[in-house]
Amino acid sequence: MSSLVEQLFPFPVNAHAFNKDRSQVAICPNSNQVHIYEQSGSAWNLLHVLKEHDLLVTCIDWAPESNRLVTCGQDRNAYVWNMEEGTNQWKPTLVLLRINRAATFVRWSPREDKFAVASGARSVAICYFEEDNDWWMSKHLKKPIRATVLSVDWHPNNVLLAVGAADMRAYVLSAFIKSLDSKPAPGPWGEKLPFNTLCGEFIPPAGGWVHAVAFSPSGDALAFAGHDSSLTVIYPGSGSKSVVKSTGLPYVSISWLSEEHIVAVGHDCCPAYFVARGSEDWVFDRAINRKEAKKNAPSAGSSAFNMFRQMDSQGSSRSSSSSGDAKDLNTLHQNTITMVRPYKLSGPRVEEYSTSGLDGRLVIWAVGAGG
Amino acid sequence: MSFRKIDIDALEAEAFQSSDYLPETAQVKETPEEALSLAEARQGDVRNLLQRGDAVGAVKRALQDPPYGPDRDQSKNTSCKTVLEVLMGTRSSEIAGIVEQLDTDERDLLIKYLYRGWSSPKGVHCGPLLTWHEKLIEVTGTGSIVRALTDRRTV
Repeated sequence: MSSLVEQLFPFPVNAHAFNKDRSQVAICPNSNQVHIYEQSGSAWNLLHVLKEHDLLVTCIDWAPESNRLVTCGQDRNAYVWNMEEGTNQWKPTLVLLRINRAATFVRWSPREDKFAVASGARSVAICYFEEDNDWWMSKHLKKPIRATVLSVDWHPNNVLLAVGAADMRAYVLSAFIKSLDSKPAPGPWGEKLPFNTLCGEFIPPAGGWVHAVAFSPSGDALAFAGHDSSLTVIYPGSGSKSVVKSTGLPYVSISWLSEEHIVAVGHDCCPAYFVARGSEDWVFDRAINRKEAKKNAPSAGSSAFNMFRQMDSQGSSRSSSSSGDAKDLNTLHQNTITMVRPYKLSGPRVEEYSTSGLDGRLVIWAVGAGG
Repeated sequence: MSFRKIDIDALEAEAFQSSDYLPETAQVKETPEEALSLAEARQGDVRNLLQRGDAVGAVKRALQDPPYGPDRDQSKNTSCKTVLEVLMGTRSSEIAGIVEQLDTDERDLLIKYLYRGWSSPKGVHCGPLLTWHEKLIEVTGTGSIVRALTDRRTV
C-alpha cells in the first residue's frame, strides 16, 4: 500500500485525466487552460497548452480508445479536442450545451460515443455527435434535478447515468439516445429505459450535497458520498442499502477498486478504503498515511503545549529549529484531494489509482496485496 | 428599494421548500401536539431513570424520537431541556463510559443537542457539556461535527 509516483505542480490541480497508455496526463491548473504533460523518466514535460476556455476549466476527461479530450468550464462551454496528425496540435470543437450556468463535471460514456456534462443549470447535458450537421448536439436531463449537479458517472451499459447533486440527492437516470444506443438489457435498475427515466433517487443519511457518485464495475451497485461525511452503497437488486458514517471530513471523489472495495478521497487529504464485509455490508477499512504518522507524532495536547512554550520562550511565532515539519499534515497530500481515478487495471480490478489535489500533487498509488 | 421586499421565491415555481432539504427519514408522522406529549412523556421517564441512578438508560431514553420537523418549538425546547439535564447531571468520570455504550446515530444526535445547548446558554452549565463534547469527539472524530452542521433536521 504505497505511493508509486508523486509529482508536485506549482498550481492547484482541479482535475486530471490520463491517456490510454498512461504516457500523458491532462491537467486543469485551476485556470482557463488545460496542460498536457508527458512522462519521461521521473520528469513530466509540458507538451501542449490548450487555450480555448474563457473561464476556469472545471473538469476534463480523456477517451482512451478514440483519443479525444473533453473539457468543460465556468464559461458554460464544453470542447471536444482532437489530435491532428499533421500538425501535432489539439484542435477544439465547440459543443452546443445550451446551459445558462457553469459546467461543473464531464465524463465520456464507456463506448465513447457520447458524454455527460453536469452543470449549475440544474441539468445534465448528454452530448452526442450528429453526423448530418457535423456538430455535437446535446439533450438535457432535467427532471427531477433541483440544484447544481456536482458529479456524474456512467453505467457500463452506456445508457444509465448516476447523478450527484446539491439538492442532497443521488439519482440514477436514463441517458438513452435513440440514434446511438441499442436497447439495453433489462437489469436491476429497470426494464424499459427511455430518455430521462428515473431509476432511483437516494439521500445521504444526514442530508448534505452529494459530492460523488460511482457505479460498481458490474453496474449493479451504486456508491455515493455526501457532505455529511458518509458513504452509501445501494444495491437495487436486493433493495439493500449500506451506510458508512466516517469519522473524518467529507469525501469529494470516489472510485470502485473492485466489487468489494472502494477508495474515497476528499477534505481529509488522504485516500480512505471501504470494504464490503460479507454481502452488501460495507465498513470503513483504513485511511492511508495516518498510521505511520501516528507512530511518530506526540499526542496533540503535549505538542500544542510545546509549541506555545517555544513561542513564549523564543518570542517568535514559529521557531526555526524544530517546526519545519510541524506545519505539514501527516498525509501525503497537503490539501484537499479533488479527484481519484483508476490508473492500472487487471480485469475488473483496479491495481493502481491516481489522485490530484489542491496542493498541486499528482500521486499514483498501488492498492497492494492486502486490500 | 421596494423591490427588495418582493418574495422572489413565491414567483419561482421550482423554489426549494424547507421540506425538500429533509431526508426521507424526517418525513414526520406525528402532529406537533403529539410530538409535545411524546417529549413530555420522555422527560418523565428520564427523571425516573435518573432517580434510579441509571445514567446510560437516561441518556438513551432522552435521545429517543427527536422532535424533527416544523412548528415544534415547544417540544424541541422540552426535549433539549431533558437531554441537557441528564448531561449536566452526569459525573465527569462516567461520561466516557456512557459514550462507549451509545450507537453512531445517538452520538450524532447528542452533538446536535450540545450545540443547541450552547446556542442558548441561559440556565446551561457549559463546562460539563464541553467534557461531553471532548469525549464524544474522541470516539466519533470530526465526522459527527460535520454531520451536525450539515443536517437540516434540527433539535
